[in-house]
Amino acid sequence: MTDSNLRLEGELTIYTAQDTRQRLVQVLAADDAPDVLRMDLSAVTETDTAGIQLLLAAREHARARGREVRFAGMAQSVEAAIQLLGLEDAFADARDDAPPDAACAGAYAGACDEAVAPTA
Amino acid sequence: MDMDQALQTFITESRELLAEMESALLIVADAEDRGDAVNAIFRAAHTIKGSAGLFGIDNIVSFTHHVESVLDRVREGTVGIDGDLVVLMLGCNDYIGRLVERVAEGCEDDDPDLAGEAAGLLERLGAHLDTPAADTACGATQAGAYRGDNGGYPGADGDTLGTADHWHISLRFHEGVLRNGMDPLSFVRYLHKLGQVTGVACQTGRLPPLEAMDPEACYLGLEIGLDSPADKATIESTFEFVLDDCDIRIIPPRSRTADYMLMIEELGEEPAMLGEMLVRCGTLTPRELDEALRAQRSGEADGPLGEILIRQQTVAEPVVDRALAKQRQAKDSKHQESRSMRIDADKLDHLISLVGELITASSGASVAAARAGNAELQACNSQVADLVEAVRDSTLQLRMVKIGATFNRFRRVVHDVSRSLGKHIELAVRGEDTELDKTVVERIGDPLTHLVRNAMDHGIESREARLALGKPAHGTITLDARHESGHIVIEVSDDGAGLNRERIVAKAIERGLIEDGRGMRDEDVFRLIFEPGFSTAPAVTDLSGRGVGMDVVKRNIEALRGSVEVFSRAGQGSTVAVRLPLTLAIIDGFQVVVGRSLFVLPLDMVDECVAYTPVEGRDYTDLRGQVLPFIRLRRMFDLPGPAAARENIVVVRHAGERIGLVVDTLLGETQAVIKPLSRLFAQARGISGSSILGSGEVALILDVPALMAEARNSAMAGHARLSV
Repeated sequence: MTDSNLRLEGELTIYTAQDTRQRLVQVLAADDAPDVLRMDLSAVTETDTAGIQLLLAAREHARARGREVRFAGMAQSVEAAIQLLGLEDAFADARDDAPPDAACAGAYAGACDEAVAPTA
Repeated sequence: MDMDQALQTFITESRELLAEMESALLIVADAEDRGDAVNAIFRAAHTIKGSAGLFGIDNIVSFTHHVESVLDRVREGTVGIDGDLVVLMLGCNDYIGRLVERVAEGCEDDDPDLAGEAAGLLERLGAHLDTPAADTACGATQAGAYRGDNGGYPGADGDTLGTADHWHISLRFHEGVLRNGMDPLSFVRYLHKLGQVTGVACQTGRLPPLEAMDPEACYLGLEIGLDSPADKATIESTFEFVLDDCDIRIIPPRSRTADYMLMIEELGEEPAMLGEMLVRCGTLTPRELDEALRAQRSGEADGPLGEILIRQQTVAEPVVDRALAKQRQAKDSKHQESRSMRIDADKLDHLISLVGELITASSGASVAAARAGNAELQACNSQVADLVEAVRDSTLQLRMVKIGATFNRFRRVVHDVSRSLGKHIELAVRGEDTELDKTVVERIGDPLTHLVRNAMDHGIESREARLALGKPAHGTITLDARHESGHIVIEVSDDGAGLNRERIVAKAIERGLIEDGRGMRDEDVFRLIFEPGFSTAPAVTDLSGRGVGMDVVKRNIEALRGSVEVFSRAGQGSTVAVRLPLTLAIIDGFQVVVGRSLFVLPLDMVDECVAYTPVEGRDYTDLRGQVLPFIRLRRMFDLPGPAAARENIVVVRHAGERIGLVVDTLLGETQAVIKPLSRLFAQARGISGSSILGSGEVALILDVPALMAEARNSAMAGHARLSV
């Protein structure tokens, strides 16, 4: 079973969506594509719906070919987006690390933090 | 980027909403039927809050929320409106305006001064809500109010906790929603602020394969369960900006299971899957879902569901239709003509300048055609010239805006200033539909403001003085605008004490402007107040009376090729009349020749032309029994060469006065695109600009009011004009 790592950095948003999709397709569609692709998302600074969609599509793409995409090191912005969209289950068994406590209201506050400038 | 455009729309519309809110605040205290005004104020605040929430501008959301809470009390009747509350609300209005401006400037970090101001306002707002200082502490930390302090129930302003109802919201986003600057995440975030989100389920069935999908499109849907005391309008308003890019269904509390099945049917998706999502959202229990699915499968549902369908139409109108109708209604009431567009000012200016070039080119073509002597060519050019003229008129019309908006801004000025002066002053506005050029509107605001403040400060007497004179206790400032022979006349009138002739004369003598006031006509005395450094106010008040005002006003108006005049009746009041040309860009002109120089006169000022027969030693001529003074342009501009054998007089008219201009040849009508004179020639008196004619020659545009003033001055100074 071949493993491979892919690290995403910076924005995972509509602004970087095209490029990110390109990268993902390249890695996943190659003849020598790995059986398990581990995506390190700990360095993602910002996530939006487009970003989450890409993660979902990547997962599905791999699954359809009998392979797998797993996630390690979810950055806070990614976690928050997943929680807001109610996609915890979709990502639950794809994580290499334990997800945060979903009932923690802090996650929602965290989501709000992104939108608010730091208080004086 | 599209996000910027959406934000721009938010900023522009917020400014408009704040202006509406201000207008409503200024009339609410005195209005007979307060309900409408109060609703307008509430609506404005509410909409700003909602839109700010979509963009995640939490400081605006949280501050406006507190304002809304107080307004809610006002609507209920538990808080009354008085002058003080209006002042407080105006202060809040200003503060929100500043927050919006900071967004416009792109300032992300907090301003400690603003935070301090916010704290002050929030404390006063809190007094009306009888809530402890806990709210003000939250206010200062901006979004803090929503983070669990109140348990996420903004409706609870400390006293009563409204019972939370369960709402179910179904969203199916269209593919373009992300590209249009909206993100489903922000809607969910906002719903978290309205109450407790019991569950979110994401519909991903439409997501295409990775290599086939458009990474910038949205393929997701959301089912959301929400426990909230908010009313339907509030929840619906969350989605106001995204109506075009999303299918929205909101199922209100206490709906029957059948209602949910109806929604499932409408969505056309797999019922079981959808049902699971509803359970996940906390909207249906598993048992209810089972029952419903069973009923539907067995066909029992057809009958009852059908009935429910009819009832649905009368009871719970589909959200989308209602929201659209509401939107249409709001739009119609906002703009009387529901068909209007926002245009980028730069694009319009560019168009105008192109039209200017077009006019010059068309003139050139006409000249060339005339020279070629080709009749057909001339006919065609004449057609083109007519069309060009029509385009010119239409384009200039685009720049015309009604002065009403500018006049209405003064309501706030009059309100604030009359309070600070301790006088009761009302504002009457007439001629709001009078139109003028956009650039003129922008530049007339400051001079008008000074004139209004002046009238309020110096013109209107104190309450006691007025009553003693038998005048009504409240003073009135009147703003009036009308068109008059190619100009717009704006008048600022007051019914105060009028100008004091003796005091003006005394001051003028003191300043060395005149020797003696005897024999001066009233209007000449009044004109003295426009001299620099002039002020007869015995005490320099904060507002005016510093003597820097009137001459600056006059200069600003003259910079717009306008003129200003004062009329006054002692004890009755004064009127300042500002005259401005209707357009600064292109004029219909009348061409004349003096010596080797070409001049253009504004056609609307030209009355008639007569042949000139010189009379020895006289500077005036007999025009049908009336005396007509004249100016020799040759002498005025010191042009070389002898006078022509036959000269002509062009009679021009301005501000009710007539004067003749002696010229050599009359060339007739022409359109002139005005090019302003460069600073080098700013000192040139009597010339207001230049124009390039079709022939390529340069003509100077005569400033008729200035010429008339020159003539008047030299007459006053006692120069005898010798005829050549």
